[in-house]
Amino acid sequence: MTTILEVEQLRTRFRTDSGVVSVVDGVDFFIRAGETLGVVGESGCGKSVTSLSIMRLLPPNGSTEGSIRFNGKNVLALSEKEMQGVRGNEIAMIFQEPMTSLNPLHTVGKQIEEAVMLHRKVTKAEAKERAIAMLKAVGMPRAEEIYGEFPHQLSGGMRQRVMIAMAMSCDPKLIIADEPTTALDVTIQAQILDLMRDLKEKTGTSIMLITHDLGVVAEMCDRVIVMYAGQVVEETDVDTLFDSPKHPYTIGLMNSIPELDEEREYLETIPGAVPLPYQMPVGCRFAPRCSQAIAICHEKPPELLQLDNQKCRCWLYAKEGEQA
Amino acid sequence: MTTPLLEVKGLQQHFPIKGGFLKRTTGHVKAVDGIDLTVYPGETLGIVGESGCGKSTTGRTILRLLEPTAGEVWFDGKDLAKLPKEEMRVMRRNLQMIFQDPYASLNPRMTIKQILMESLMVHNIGTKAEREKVIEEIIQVVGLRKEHLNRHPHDFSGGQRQRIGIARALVVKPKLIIADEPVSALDVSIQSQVLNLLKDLKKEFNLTLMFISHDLSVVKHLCDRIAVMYLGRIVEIADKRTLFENPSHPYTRALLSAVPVAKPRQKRERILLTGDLPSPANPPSGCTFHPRCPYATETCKTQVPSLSDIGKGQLVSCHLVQSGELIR
Repeated sequence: MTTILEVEQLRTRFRTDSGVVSVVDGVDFFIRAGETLGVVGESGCGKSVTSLSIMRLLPPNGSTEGSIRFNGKNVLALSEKEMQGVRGNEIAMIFQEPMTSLNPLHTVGKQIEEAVMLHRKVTKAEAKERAIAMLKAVGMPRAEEIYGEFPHQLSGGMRQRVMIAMAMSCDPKLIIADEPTTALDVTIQAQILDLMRDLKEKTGTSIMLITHDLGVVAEMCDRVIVMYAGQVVEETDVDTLFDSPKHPYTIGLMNSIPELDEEREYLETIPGAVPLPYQMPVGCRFAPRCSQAIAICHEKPPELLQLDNQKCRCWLYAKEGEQA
Repeated sequence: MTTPLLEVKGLQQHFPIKGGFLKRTTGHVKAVDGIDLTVYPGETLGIVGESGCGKSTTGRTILRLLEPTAGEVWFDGKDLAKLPKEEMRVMRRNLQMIFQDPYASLNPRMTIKQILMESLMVHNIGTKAEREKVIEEIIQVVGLRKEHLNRHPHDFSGGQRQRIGIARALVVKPKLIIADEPVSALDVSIQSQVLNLLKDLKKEFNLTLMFISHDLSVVKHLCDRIAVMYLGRIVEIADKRTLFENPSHPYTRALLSAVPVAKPRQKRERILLTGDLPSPANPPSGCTFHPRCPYATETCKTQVPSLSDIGKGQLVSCHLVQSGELIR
């Protein structure tokens, strides 16, 4: 399988009043054609900033270093005009809150058309046809009527379908979905996840699915990266991740969620909280919260090590590697 | 059978929809439309449902943070719904609330000590020295330190703020605490800390808790009995084990099957509901779930089902389950 996106040593910094803070710090990952990569982590781990860096949608005080190669192109070296040809066309994005990402003053039909007209040489009538076809493809009932409706007339689930229709309208090679179902109820979430799986199978597009919900990861993803404090701490296929997670943070995360089909008196917890970007520990960034931390963890930052079935950023496994 | 601590009968909360030039009432949003439930001392009753089903409104109406449209709320031998305002204010010492958003529910200008002290002063509990002692104890019970008392809410993380919210509810030693989505705004690793704290407190203080949440796995973890709400009504209520092993209402089944499980190898059968939640201003006739129900019959479209016992204290509001047509 070909690699569609390759991110190497991505570093994203923001200039703030309290100095320059590094929000994403040396992130490496790749996405193959047709696969779904899950990006997991809690708030502040840098997962959304990573996606905004790929789309080059950072606010003016943000800057990016490293390499982002998409389909053979170096995204960071593209001119703004070239980037506009990529955004919404080759890489599309679905955001968490569909109400704030749709324009309340335009009909949903017009907003989908806009994306099509921007990237394809089509007439207005063809664009309209495409918009209605897309609304049908995402399972909208009464697609012709909804074409002329405004976002506020639709429910949350319907709005998210519109966002997906818009994202899919130019047949992108990669869709970045940032918490696409977090704002939705579970029964609606199940509908949307089902739809995304369906569309992926039909079109063969790759998906980068950013989420904090391990259940969603288990159901949707082929491979997963786990992020903590701006770094990738574990990377593996989805089965290995759930069968034998290696990083203490991944393990802690898994044990701290209550499961529907399990009965546990107490949940395991990860003590403390995520460190602030300008107060990063010198050694491993997870060490202050880690129950297995050893001396070196507090002194030197670990590398992302290649293990048998996965990559893991943890000193505990470095030792194993040396002995072997 | 123990006597219930709280008994809610036929509780309704209808919000008027005003429109037009003279702002006349043109209709009602039936947020809570006839709810019966009982909470026994020492138990944790979970209320689950999707957004807009009226679960939060139920909690607020019981505490009279919203004046109920109709119904009775029996607590400690008194009908809270009919209590004069002043008596209700005194009564709230026994009924406390923990809110969802730990950022919005703490006054940013007050120190933690002032926030906790306020609760005690409003209810005239203890002398100044006694209050200080109680506060110092309670802050440690929820896992914070005495030094934290002089700080302001902005000095704390989300999880710590929720601990303060819990301390504020606990400090007056209430008989019932209503917790409205207390962990939904928190990250999972922090959420588990707060859930464990609640579990400890339940044991230590023999707390009676009404736990409102949209997250089924969280409710399952913490609650003894669970009520499932849909469009302002309870569709099923049962003890935890029965509900999860033998969900009976078609909505409960769909809800349980919709929760993503963190086991990639496990392929489950999923009941996908079509359509969205109907508007509570104009609920469907008969059983309000019938437009989305895969089993709905003609009866369901016309007749409103009632909540009745199908055995083992499991109450279900569904014609088909009650008549035995839907095999459980």
